[in-house]
Amino acid sequence: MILKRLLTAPALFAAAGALLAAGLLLAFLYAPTDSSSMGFSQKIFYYHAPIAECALLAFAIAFVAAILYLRSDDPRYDVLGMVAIRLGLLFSLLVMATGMIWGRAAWGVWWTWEPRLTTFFVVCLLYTAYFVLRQTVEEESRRATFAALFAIVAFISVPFTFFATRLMPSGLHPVVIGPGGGGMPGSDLLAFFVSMIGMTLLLLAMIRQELAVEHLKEELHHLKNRIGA
Amino acid sequence: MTLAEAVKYVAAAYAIILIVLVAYSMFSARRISALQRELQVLEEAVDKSAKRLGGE
Amino acid sequence: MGGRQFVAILRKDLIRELRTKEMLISMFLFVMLAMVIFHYAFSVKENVDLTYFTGGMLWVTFIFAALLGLNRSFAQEKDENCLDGLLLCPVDRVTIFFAKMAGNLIFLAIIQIVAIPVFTVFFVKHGYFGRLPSFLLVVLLADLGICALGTLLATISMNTRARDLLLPIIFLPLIVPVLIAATSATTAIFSGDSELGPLGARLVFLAMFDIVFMVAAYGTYDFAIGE
Repeated sequence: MILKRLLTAPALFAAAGALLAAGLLLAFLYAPTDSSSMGFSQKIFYYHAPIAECALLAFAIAFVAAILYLRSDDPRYDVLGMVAIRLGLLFSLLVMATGMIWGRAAWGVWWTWEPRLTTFFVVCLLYTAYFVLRQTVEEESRRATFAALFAIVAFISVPFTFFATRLMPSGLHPVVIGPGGGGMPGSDLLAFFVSMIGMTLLLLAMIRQELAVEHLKEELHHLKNRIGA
Repeated sequence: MTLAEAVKYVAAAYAIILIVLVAYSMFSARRISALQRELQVLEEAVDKSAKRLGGE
Repeated sequence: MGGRQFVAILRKDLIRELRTKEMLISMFLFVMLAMVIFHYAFSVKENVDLTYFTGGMLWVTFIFAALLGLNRSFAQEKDENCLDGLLLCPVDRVTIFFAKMAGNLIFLAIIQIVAIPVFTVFFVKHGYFGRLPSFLLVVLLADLGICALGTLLATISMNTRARDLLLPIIFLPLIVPVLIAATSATTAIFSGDSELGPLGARLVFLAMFDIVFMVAAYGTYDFAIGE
């Protein structure tokens, strides 16, 4: 994988911003609203779901980067993995925040142990552990190897965690936060897709930006070493 | 919960999303400029001392 | 060739522990004390029926006992530099993994053989003898997952600065699916409550978890132990 260009990608950010704004407008002006409070709070879904999918996408990118690192020993894959997980963690925290607000608005409770919220909570703990692991290894190549191993195992565990939370006896999860009443009519779908693509572009833009930061830090580090500073 | 209250919650959710993502990206961008500046300063210093040594 | 090495490494670990029994005794005491604590934690009123808590109590106890065992067995290796010696021999890394995993499994099983009857007497009101085979299957499948994942992660954590402090942090989030499935299956068996859903789904789930993570460990153990 070729390292991205050093400069940030303003084009990606601009495109993301435009699509997200469009998605927002579509969600509020075009998609039909059920004028109950529960129906209105469903509007959160138009960003909440894309953020969730982007978090998982970020972890998937880290998973692939980890495998590639183990096969090639190229440290750039390690950096990509770390950046992806950092952003995935950020997005996961946002998923939890918006999920909890939605739950409060729609169902009156701040927390419910329903599968998606619970899974993302475990995911946050899991990928925080990734950074704890990184901190405890000083030698660079070993740190990258262990981080890659953990990124692989962690990502595999996510679907298992999700399905396990649904395995629990039914009746324990009376509140299920779903995308509004039964199926999504066409106008809903459009707003959702536009936001989804916009959020994905935003993730990619942020990954690019973070990679640039890490690359610069690395160059600075090398330069300082050469000078003996 | 009334519709008015629900609107406040929805607004809060979107606000949090936008604030967090925009703030994070902005901090990163600022970090990049700072790092680039520092890199430039150091490179110039290295060039200068290299020229001086070369001249001697 | 792999089989003989497997047996040799396993024997070494078993004999070493059986000589002092330190780890087994610690795990055993921990499990017994945990039961006492659970009783006082939950039985706040007279005649409280803890039937629906039994699965959770049992598996929380076993998971933390397993962590104790994993930390101990690898810490010894590290301190006495056994692992370096082992790596100098022409042993397949994966053989080391399965031997260590088998050792951890055996130790966990020894503790469970003693703990489960005690637990039954303390907390389980309804007989489950008829459902015993299913229960043993649940225990076996959960143990496999715990030991496979635990052995892989303990190998990693022992090679870091934090050593045994890190293991719970990286192990617990990953073992949540096993905990959930084992707990709900065990509670279903102990309570005999058929409303708690089909056992089959949970057994299949545990089996799949075991297969997937054993394959993952098989594929990556070279990197975890490598130098």
